[in-house]
Parts: sequence; structure tokens; C-alpha cells
Amino acid sequence: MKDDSIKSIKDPFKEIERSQQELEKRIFHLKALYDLSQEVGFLRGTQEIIKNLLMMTIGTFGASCGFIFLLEADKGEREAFAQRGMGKDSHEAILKMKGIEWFQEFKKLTGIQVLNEGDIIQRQGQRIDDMLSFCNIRIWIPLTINENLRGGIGLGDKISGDSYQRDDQELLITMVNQGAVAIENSLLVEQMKKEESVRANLARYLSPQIVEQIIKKDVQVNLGGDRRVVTVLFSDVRDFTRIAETLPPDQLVQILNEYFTEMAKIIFENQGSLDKYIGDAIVAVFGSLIPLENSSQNAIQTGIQMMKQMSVLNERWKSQYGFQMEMGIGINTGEVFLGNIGSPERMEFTVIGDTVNVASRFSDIAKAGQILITKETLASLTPDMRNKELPPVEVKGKTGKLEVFEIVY
Amino acid sequence: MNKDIQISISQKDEVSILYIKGDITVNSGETIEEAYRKVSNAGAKKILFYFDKDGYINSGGIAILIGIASESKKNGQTIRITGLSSHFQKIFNMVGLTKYTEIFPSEELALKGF
Repeated sequence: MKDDSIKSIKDPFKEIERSQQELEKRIFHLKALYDLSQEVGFLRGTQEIIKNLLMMTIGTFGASCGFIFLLEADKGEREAFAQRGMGKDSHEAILKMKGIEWFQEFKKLTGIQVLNEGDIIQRQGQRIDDMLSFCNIRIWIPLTINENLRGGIGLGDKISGDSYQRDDQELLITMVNQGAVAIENSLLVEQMKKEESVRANLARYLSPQIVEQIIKKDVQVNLGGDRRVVTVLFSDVRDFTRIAETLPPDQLVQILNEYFTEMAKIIFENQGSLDKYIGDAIVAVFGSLIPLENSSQNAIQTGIQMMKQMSVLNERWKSQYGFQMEMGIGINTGEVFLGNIGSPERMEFTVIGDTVNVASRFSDIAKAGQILITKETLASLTPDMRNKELPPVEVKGKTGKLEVFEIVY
Repeated sequence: MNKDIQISISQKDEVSILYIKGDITVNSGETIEEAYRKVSNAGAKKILFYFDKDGYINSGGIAILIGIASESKKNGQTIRITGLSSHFQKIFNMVGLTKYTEIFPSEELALKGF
């Protein structure tokens, strides 16, 4: 009777102590979630986030070891990986694992089918679970990014000796999901940065509208090295040296800027890309970045509009500065090599080849207001485009004379 | 989170003492690992971690300490801890760190019989 009464006094104290411990644990877990949001929420770079996420989960559960991996979205290869407490050999073995192997292991442990059934994974007779056995992975949680299973986290035994409970699993899922949001944000920022870099690069050659279409993948472009049939337009200001000598420098800069701006606008409107400015000359390419049905037609249309715009500019310059400029245009169609060419410090998407040289030569021989085209460009002209044949000309590097046609506009 | 952490190392008889001031997180924890390795490489077998009572230790920091505790076991070292607030004493107990280390209420008591 006496013993029973003592027991009944002790039990409530034990109960209070247990409740207090449970409360401490809950507060610690809540704080862990808050800390995690503080630690990974502002990090950039998946590797940093992955590493911090793993450490925070290990600390929260008092795990002896653990690892986390994230696979690339398309290739299935490892994008980021972090481990803790796994020993050098196991770490190296894991680093050699291919993406498919991670998921095979994952499926075996969790029963979750993530990729097609592949080969049975063996590595020199050693199964992956043997490799991981050093750590006794006790709990696995998938890592889902943008609703796609992209990786997982595994934690080893608790050093306290306790086993993982249902609420541990729930907390780990919450922590991993929080990390996944940070990864999503980081990937989004990386993608935006990449897009911005592509946008800035392409904006030098293309109209803003087309750049947007390329970014949104409405228009496919080939930025790698390639051989392609394109039409090259060369325009050159006649007697520019004399003009440059007679005009004050600030006026010359203003006039050239006006000229280039107006001409570039026309090139962009006709879906051409602005290859480069060479002094007062403009090099535009049609059918390189964006495939065109008839690149010759677009180039000639551009040439005519440029000539007409030149007249408009001349009217303005005549009244403002008392002078006017004239230009000649040469157009040729043929195969070129196109791609990003240059040193890593200065890359330029440009075209190279005989086709470019001939267009340049035709622009040299064109008189003020003339648009000269080659036989190759003429071949794809529509019948409504009037032209007249001129005497053939010699072009450096070419055997025999080349046929020349003038566009009548 | 405050990434700054200050660690000073002193030696009392056979015990290497690491005085740690500041918050312990994944980032700052790496500085503790470096300090631990420094005394470890110098042959320390008895190490006392003296934490800042006002410092905060997050889960990432605890993971760092678990790593150190596990390494010390492999190295045959004994680790003692002092300076922890009662809150963090409970947390260390909860996560199992007290299985690898002993927590003392003061430096004097920690050094006694070390």
C-alpha cells in the first residue's frame, strides 16, 4: 500500500518530465526549420544549398552520417552531392556512381519507381548497398524539384541510439521540401542570369522581338559552328574619308549613330542579323541565326529600304548640317561558316567565307545609290523584283569575271 | 546568421582548451573543425570545448560537433564541454552528443580529474 502511494506520486513527475522533454524537442525542431530557412533561403548555387541542407538535417536528428544528391534534370547525371561522416573510400565510390545507379538504389530502399528499369547495377561485383552499409542509412527522403523527382537524402543511425519515428520522417520531409524550394529559386535565378546573358549577347545582332522569341524558344537558333547558305549584305558610305575630314568629330559621331540606328532597324525588321560595323560599313546576314524561306528576298528588300531611308536622312542632314551622304550596297548568297568566333575574352557571332568577300567587293564597286547583287542572289528573286544586268567584274581571289545585276527600285 | 567566430586555444597541463565565442553554424563551424584539427595534429588527447553562453548553435553547427565527436572517438581522444546554456545542454543530450562527450557546468569542474 505504501509502495503504491509512492509510485503514484513519482509517475506524475515522470510524466511532466517526459512532456517537458517532448516540448523541448518540438521547440528545437521548430527552430531547426526556422534556421534552415535562414541558412538556405538566401543561398545561391545548388551545391551550397545541398551541403547546408544535409548538415542541418544531420544536426537536427543527431545522425551519425548522411548524404544528399541532386541529379541534372535532363541527363540524369549528378548535379550536386554532399556527404558527411562516410569515410574517404565510400565517398569516392559514391562519387563514381552514375545517375541511374542512384535511382536504382533509391528504388530498392524505398520502392519508389523513378526511372526505367535499367541494367542490374553491379560495380565490380560489389553492390551499392554494400558500399553504403558503412553508414547504415536508416531513412530516405526523395528530393523533388518542380514536381520532378531529382534526388534524395539519406541519414544514418542516430548517435543517441534512438530509432527514427514517424514525426522524424515528417520533419525531414518538411526540411527537404524547404531545401527544394531554395534549390528551385536558385535554379530560377541561374536560368534568369543565363537568359540575360543570351539576351545581351543576341541583342547586339538581332531585334529585341526576335531575341525574346529565341529566349522563349519560339525560334530555334544555332549558336554553334555550322556551314549554311545565307545572304550577306554589305553597305558602304561613298567618299566617307572626305566627309570625316570636313565634319567636326562630335557632329560626325552623331550622324554616324543616326545612320547606324536607322539602318539596323531596317535590317532587324527584315529578320536580318547585324553582323558587324566596319568603320562606316554595315555587314548584315540573312538566314543565319533565324532560318528564312528566301534570304535573298529579305536582303534585297532591306537594301531598298536602306536606300530610301538614306534619302530621308539626307533631307534632314542637308537642312541641319548642309551636307549629305550616299552609299552603295553589295549582296551575295552562298555558303558561309557561321559561329561564335574569337578569344574567350571577346566572342563574336559572325560569318566567314568567300560569300562574304564577294558581297564586300560588290559593295565596293557599287556607285552611290546602287544595289548590286550576284547571280546566286538573283537566282532566288521573285519576278516582281526588277533588275538589270551590268558588265561582269573581276573579283580578287576569283578566277574569271563575275556576273553583276543591279536592282531597280 | 553571424558567420564570425573567435577561437582561442590554451593549454592547461594535458588539456587543450578551445574557447569559442560566437554563433556556431555550418560556415562558422568549419573554423572550429580547423581549430580541433590543429590541437589534434599537435597530439592532444584531452580537449575541452568552452562555448559562449550567449552564443547560438544551430542544427548545422550541431552536425559539425557530431563530426568532431566522431573523429575524436577514432583518434582515441576525450572531449569535454563547458559553457553551454541549460537549453543547449538539453539539446546536446537530445541529439546524443552526450554519448560522445561530457558536459560540465564550469571549466574548473571540467578540468577536475580530466
